[in-house]
Amino acid sequence: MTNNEVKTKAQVAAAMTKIAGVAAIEGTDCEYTVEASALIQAAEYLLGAGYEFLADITAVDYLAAGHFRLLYQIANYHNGDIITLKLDIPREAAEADSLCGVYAAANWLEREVYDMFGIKFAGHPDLRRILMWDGYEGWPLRKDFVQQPNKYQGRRRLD
Amino acid sequence: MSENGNAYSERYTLNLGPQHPSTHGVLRIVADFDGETCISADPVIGYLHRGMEKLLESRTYPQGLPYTDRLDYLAGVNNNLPLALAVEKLLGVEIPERASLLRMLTCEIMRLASYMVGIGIYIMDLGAVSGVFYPFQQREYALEVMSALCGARMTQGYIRFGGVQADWNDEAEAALDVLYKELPPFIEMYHKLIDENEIFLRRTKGVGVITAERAKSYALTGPNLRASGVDYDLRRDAPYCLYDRFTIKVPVQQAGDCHARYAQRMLEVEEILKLIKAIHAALKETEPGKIMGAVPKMLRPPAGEAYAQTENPKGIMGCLVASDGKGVNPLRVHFRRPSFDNIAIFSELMPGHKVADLIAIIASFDIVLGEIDG
Repeated sequence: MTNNEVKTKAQVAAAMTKIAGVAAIEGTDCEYTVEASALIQAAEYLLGAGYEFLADITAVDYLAAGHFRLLYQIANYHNGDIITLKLDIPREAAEADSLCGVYAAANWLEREVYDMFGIKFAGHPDLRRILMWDGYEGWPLRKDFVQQPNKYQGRRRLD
Repeated sequence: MSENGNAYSERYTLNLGPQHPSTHGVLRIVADFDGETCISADPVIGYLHRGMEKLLESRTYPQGLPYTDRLDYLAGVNNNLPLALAVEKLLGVEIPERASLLRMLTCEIMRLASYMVGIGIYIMDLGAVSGVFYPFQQREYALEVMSALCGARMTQGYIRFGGVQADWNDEAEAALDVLYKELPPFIEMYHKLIDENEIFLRRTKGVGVITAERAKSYALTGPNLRASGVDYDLRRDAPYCLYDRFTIKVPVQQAGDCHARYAQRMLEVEEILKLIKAIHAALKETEPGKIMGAVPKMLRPPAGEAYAQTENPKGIMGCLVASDGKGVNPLRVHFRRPSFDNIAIFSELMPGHKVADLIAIIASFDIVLGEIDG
């Protein structure tokens, strides 16, 4: 794909806002809120528009507002433009569609989000913990996470 | 006969790591083999996970900055930069010209130091143990510059929100002159030493081939991406700091194999040296003294989310900072760590290769576990 085939931010904006469930965020030219149902469609459009580089997936826990915000940074390999998709999901039903079918890089990025926030990704081929060990309980980056007490009791006296 | 044509082969699982010298730290790979041929590989990471992102939530912004040095600890300054840029984006601070140039200069010096480790360890993993010492000597010259500039060799914490910690000095100038003198003969010598070595060529040519298409889908960045024929470097294509003032030539390889990843880094070293000289010359033309912008004593960025990217030695590093606008701690900090995204391709790349090729593939990626595990 040559540089000309990457759609500009304005072209992306024109097409993205036509997708049901996608809305541009006021005051920005490259940030969108998406609804859960529109996520895959938006990602597939961006891939076709030359945005082949899924730079990052992460989440922010807005505990007071009662939702997680998933942030997708989708860029291209030509000019550094980043399209940000923001998807709010309720904390009690933390699930979103997986982008593994669109970008191979989504596999590990979604595993990391699952590991740290407990957000499930429907359709992910291999959703297990990645940084924490198997059998670890709890979701460390949630704001209501309570750290497990350290089981180490200090050195035993040898007398 | 087994399905891969070996006369008598046996299926077994080989546990590579986490304490294996050629895994560059504590990377573990659980691989299934049929005879000598790998049929599946599953990288297991997290042995060096320190909960960096959680830690940063309980620190103020300036307290959190030095932690980032410990991500890619071979190039500390480069990790400070994306966090600084993201927070400065939220704050809307202007950075003095001299501070920006110093940031770029130190980033390039540490990029050089990181490449030296990457190349040296790669050659050592392929069996040439003496090949590691020459680049490490060059790395030492680079670290000497940093030591003279800010007093620390590796985890410098040199970049501050709004500028840098210390101004350029004569001692650093002298140390940089040593680097200028020593590096070109080293590059020439190292090409002679490695480029036509038959063992090296046979172990790397055609091994671990990544096509441009797969590299893009797996979000590879940095030299590993450019070795697969994708011509993309943030410093040239989406300049941050003052990179737009300089002409940056980006070498590209087409083969996408382990040899291309070595050749790519060696070519880039020459370009880094040219860039260091250009930035150094530009730095001399600015007035000494002004290295900090007008930053408030207590940092309370307005509510919002900011994302910044930089081209690091291992690839593109990104940093997301979310602030609630009230506290002095960030609500959330997240790093896109290039090595983490780069090695996700291992489970697709390794099947079909021999045991020894796995070592060549790991070494050719130039990974740092501090960065992978976060």
